[in-house]
Amino acid sequence: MPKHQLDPNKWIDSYADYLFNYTITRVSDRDIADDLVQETFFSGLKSAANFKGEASERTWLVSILKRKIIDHYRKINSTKGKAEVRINYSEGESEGDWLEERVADPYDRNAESTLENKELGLAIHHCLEKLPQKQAEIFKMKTIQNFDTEAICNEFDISASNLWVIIHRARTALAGCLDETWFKQ
Amino acid sequence: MKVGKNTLFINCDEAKYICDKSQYNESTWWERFRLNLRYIYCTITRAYVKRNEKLSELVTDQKVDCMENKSKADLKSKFEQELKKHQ
Repeated sequence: MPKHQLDPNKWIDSYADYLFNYTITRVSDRDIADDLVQETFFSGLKSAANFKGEASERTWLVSILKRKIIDHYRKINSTKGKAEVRINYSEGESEGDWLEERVADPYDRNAESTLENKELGLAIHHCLEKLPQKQAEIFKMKTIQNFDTEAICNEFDISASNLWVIIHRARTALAGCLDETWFKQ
Repeated sequence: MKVGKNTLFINCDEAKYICDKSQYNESTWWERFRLNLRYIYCTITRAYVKRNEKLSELVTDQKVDCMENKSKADLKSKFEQELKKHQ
C-alpha cells in the first residue's frame, strides 16, 4: 500500500499557489510562471501512472516543475545566452578579468537572503495549505493580492465583520504554523 | 466583532480585532489610539501586536506571491477538461 495517493481533482486548489510562488522566484515573469505551472499539472496528469506513492503529491509535482524550469532555461540559453557571454569576453582590455568577476563577494549577502526569502515564501504557502480552503483564499486575497474588503465580501457573500473574524483566525493559525516550521528550525 | 465606539478602554479581543485591521491600514485613528492605550498596560495585547506585525512583515516584505484569480480560474477550467479525457 503506497504512503501517498494522487487526487488530481484537488491539485489546482491545493498546489497552484505554492507552485506559482516556487516558479515566480525563479523565472520572475508571471506569464511564464503561469505557463510552467500549467505544464506541470498537465505532465503530472499524463505521468500519474508512474507515481509510486513514496513522496507526497506536492513533492512529486515540485520535482516535475523543477524539470520544467530547467527546460525553460535551456531553451533560453540555447538561443540568447551563449551569444551574450561570447560578446562580453572577447574584448581585448577585459580579457582575463572574467574569473575575478565570477569569484563570490564575501560581503554580498544578497544571494543568501534571496534564497532565504524563497524558502520563507514556500514555508508560508505550506502553512496556508493547512488552513481551511475558504480561510486561505480570503487571507491570500486580502494580504497577498491586496483586494478591497468590500470586493472580498461580495465575492464570498460575507459581512465585513465575518471577514475580519476569518482573517484573525487565519493570521493566528499562520503565525503558529510559522513558529513551528520556520522559527524553531 | 464590533468595538464600542464610545469606550476609551477596550478588551483584549477588541484590541486584536483593531490590530488585525491596522495591518491593512483599515483602522481609524480613534481605534488605533485605544489600541495604543491598551498596548501600554496589557502584556497579551503587546505580544499579539508584536507577533501580528512580524507576520505582516514576513508576508508583505518577503514578496510572497500567488497566482491571480483569473489565471487560476482559466487553469482550473483547462485542467478539468484535460482531467475528463483521462477519466
